[in-house]
Amino acid sequence: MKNRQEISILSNDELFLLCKKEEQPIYFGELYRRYIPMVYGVCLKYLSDETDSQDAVMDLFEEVAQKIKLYDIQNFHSWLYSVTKNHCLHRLRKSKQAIFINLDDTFMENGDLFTLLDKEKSSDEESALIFCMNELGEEQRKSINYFYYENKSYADIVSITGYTLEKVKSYIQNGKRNLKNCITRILKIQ
Amino acid sequence: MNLKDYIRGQRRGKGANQLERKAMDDPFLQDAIEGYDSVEGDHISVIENLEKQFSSSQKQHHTRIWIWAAAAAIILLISIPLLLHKPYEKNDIPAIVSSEKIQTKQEISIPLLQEDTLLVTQHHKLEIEPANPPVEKIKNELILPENDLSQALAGHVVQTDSSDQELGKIFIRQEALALVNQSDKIVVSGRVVDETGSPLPGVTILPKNGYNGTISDIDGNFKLDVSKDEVDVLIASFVGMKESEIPLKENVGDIQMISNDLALNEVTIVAFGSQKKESVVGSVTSVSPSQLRRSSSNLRDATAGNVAGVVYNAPVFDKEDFIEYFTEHYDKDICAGQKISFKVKFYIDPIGQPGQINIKENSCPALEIEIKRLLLGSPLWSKRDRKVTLQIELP
Repeated sequence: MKNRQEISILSNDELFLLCKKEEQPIYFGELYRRYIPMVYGVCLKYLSDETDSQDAVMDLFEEVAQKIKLYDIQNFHSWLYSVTKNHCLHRLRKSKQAIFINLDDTFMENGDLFTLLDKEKSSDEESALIFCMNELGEEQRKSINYFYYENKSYADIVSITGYTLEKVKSYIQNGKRNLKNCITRILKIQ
Repeated sequence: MNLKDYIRGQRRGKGANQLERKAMDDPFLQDAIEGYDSVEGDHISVIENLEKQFSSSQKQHHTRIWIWAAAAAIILLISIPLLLHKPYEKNDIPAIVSSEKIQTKQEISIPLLQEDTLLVTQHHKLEIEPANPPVEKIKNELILPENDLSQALAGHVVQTDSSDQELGKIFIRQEALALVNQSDKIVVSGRVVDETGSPLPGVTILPKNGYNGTISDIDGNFKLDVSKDEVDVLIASFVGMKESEIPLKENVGDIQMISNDLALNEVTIVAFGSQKKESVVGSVTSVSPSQLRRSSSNLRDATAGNVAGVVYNAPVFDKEDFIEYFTEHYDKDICAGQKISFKVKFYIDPIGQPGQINIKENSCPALEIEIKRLLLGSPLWSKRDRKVTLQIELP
């Protein structure tokens, strides 16, 4: 049985494995505690109500504690996300409200894009990237440049360029997609 | 930077940038951030409040047990007098429903799907035909808009149209149904859940013979009267999921459904609206807008290569098609009464346009212009850059 200090240095995944191995409520309590900001945030997004979301966080604690024992979970992080979302949607269905999910900020291509911006590149890829960056429209190029090359946050970019927050996100997202297509084309030709 | 700082409003600098990059790849984080941005409130104090509840968990556990114990005691105190209260007089004769003739017909109205809400109304029709002598023949139809059949029946008072006034009121008790559950009949109940353990409403549960089934309610629960000599297994089915067998036991517990290789959490974009995949019947593939950038305004052709089953079919136009085209469009008045027979040699250029037309052995010379007209105006031919000789004879 580990003490508080030993527990606090464990990663989430290590802690999760510990929960599965030994059924000590203190392990799961700590794991869930770490996820509270995430879970509460997602509940706010779907339920829109602070009180309801807080109740959901507490209900989910019980629910997740039970389910951890029953199901073989490979990736706790994404599993918890699914369970949280499902719980919120279920809650909404029960109260029979129409569910309006604002799609404006939702990016359909999350995680799927591979653009070399964050990764190690060969010299060919490097050249292709430089070429393609120059092919971008000004706003997209600037936004990507600030975000990936100068490590500026969205708020930073807003104040530097004067673009709105939504536009910044959109320029970066579309710019990445254009880069990807351009780079793929170039590298295929070679 | 951690999420709490970002929520506090620290949106500048490299730390914020790192978190934003993480959010691009992590939909969980992305949704959480959107939640905080979309709702007003002092989120940090709420979070810290919630976190407190999990830090000294041992103590919390004990106080919670006391709360539950107190609640249970109160419920017991209230329910005992209710159970003892007898709602009918000794003189009333309880109806004993025979085991032989209970048919439950369930009509399930069409579920209306609005975004993610599933509305199901169930109407139960119950026909009771008892065969035992002590009971007068009753023919009753109960139409009850209730989810739980046995609960709906319990305590229900039914008027009879019997002329025998001794049986003025017949009280159908829940226990009566239990009498029905003799050797071959059982009530199968349970709950349908998905891979994450979440309840699945709207799952169809049918015996293999196909009728007399039910569907799961909003919490995934279901209950079905089954006659063991007619049915050997129940099948649970739901769009997008693999069928699951349900054994014939009283309490089957949780029935887990596995998805059918389609990720049910993806959102399908349909024009400018969106539907969750589980509400769409049929096969679904997601195609991102960038993949649709082809020079075709035809969505079917644009998705060719991206969606299984959609093949790009260049419209075919060849000799047979032209013969058909000619037969359909030529001016029949021109050579009316005469036999139509001719040979035509021409060249199809690289884009499929006929030219250099040479007509031979024409039975009706007046037709020549018509032949040329239709050939020049025909749809583009499939086989291009070649010379073609075509013989046409019409009866």
